[in-house]
Amino acid sequence: MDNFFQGLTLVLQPDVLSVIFLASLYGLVIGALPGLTATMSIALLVPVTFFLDPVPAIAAITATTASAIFAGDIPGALLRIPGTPASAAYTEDAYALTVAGRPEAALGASLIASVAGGVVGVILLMIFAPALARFAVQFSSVEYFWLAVLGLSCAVAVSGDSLLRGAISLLIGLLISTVGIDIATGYPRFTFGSIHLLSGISFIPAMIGIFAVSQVIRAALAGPGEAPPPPSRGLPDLMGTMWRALVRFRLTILRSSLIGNLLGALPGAGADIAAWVAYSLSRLVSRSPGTYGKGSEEGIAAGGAANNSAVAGAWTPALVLGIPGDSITAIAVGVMMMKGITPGPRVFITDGPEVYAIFLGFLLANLLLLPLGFLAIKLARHILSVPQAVLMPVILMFSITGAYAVDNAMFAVGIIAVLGLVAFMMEENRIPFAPAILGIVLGAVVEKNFLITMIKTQGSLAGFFDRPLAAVLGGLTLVVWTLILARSVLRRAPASERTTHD
Amino acid sequence: MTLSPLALALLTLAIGIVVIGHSRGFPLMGGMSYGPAFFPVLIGAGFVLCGLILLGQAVLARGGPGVSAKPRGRRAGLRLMIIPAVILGYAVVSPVAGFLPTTALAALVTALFFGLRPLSALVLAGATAVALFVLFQGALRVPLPVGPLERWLG
Repeated sequence: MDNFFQGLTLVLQPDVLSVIFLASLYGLVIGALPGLTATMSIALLVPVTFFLDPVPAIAAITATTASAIFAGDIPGALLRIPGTPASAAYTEDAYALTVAGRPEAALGASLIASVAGGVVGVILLMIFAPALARFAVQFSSVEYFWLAVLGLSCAVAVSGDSLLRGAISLLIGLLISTVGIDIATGYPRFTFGSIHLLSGISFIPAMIGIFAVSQVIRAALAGPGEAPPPPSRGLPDLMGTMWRALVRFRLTILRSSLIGNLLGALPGAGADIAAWVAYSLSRLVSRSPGTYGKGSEEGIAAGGAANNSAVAGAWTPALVLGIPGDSITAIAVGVMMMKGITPGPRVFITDGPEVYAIFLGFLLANLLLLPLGFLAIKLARHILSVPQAVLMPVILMFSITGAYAVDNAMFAVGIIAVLGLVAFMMEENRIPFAPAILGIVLGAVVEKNFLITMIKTQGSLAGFFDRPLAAVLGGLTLVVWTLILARSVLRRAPASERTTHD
Repeated sequence: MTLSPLALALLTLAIGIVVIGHSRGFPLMGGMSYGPAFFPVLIGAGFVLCGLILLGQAVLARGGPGVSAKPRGRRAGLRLMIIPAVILGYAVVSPVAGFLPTTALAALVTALFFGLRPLSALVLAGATAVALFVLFQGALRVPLPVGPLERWLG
């Protein structure tokens, strides 16, 4: 309890509170702009957090994520363009309500569900993270090796329609992670004689290149374009709609928050998948499944609660094991390490007050979402009418300045150009980003723990299954890969049948 | 720039072969059977495996209808390279010209490219440069590239 109150003192500082407020506003604007994802908002924010104290730095990330994930619903409802992929599950429903002349019903349900889902998610995080930490203290290098491998495997398994492309993405990430001085022997790998590459490809410029610059390149290729005009109707009685949605869908919201949190905590899953699963499940148990896809407020509440709860759930493995569940917490793990908070089961002992401050800041950000989200909905028309020609130069210059600021070197600016192009090419060829990001973060974890284990067991591979816990995790990894392979074989069979009949 | 299935397969294969070839030059530490080359070779092998599967798929699909790349119109290559060119130009110019002029110029070029009217582009470019300068140099105390203008500002 000491940690809790010390954490509370850390959060209730004027600078921390103002950082949470500003980060929430920033997240709302970026999340509401179509094409700019929550992950991109975090990648652009990191150079700024670099120069803040640990607690406000992490609070900025959690506040931005919470508000950006909600704000993605706004253009989804008004323009049928989900602002972030996490809103895609129920965009049809939200837009159908707007077409029917009831945009306030869509946005009201989504906002109240987001706030409730976020609050439930953080409370679950505060319960589960310390419990998992008590259990995880007994983990050794073998368990960490398997956890990282399991995380990478799940990232490939859920990476979209093509497992092969997910695997290629993972390999790209792992390859990037090997650049620089080898941890075991000190030998410089893939540095090509450059001193800038000795310490590896810096994480922050890499994220900025992959998530921000690639989008500017994409917009440049599309050329000058007009944003579709948002509907100009007002939103009467938003507050009353929200309150009624909360009462009517309380069970849906609670169930979706629990599911979302669990899925968020699984490595590789994240908010997008949580929203889809909660939406589908809610449809299965719904009394009116026919309305789903045609303007179901219940469906919006289910998906909206799940994705915000998943955002909090992803912090459990990131904080306690150092194994991030999604791209956003992958960035957050990097920031925590830079700030001297080492994620791991001992984090509650070494940085107890800071961890509770992070939790409480997260909770506060979700509560703050209620008034700020309300404001954002009211101002949505103005946010959505910002043309690309204004947005893109600002994002580009912010990317360049941010990359330079972190390393204080022009080399980082070169990295964002190169990785921006690489990420653009990946996207063009339907190669997903998420496995690559986890590969960059977890590559070193896998390699380090593999080598430590090999030294401990004197080169015997059997050592990877000796401990019961390691055997379970290793077995799970094998199960995931069996499922991956079985799924791709099953999927190929009907396809080849079709070609022979043609 | 969507690659054809064959091109994607060959590129993946080539990356794998180059990675393996390069890693074989890494030294093995005395007494250890797993040196710095172990993981890179494993990654390279993964690329080769994925490349071979893609190659197989590409060859099998040759009889079927090919996936045509999205039409991008003329000068797509030029539009693709404009943003990387602006970034690299910034990296070259800013150490000499300083943060404020370079940032304003790069923002101006980008804004004009995206079709903003010249006067609006000028205002946007100036405002972006000043706002980033105030945020990073002023509030966050990050040293930004210094040129004549920044020296004069102190």
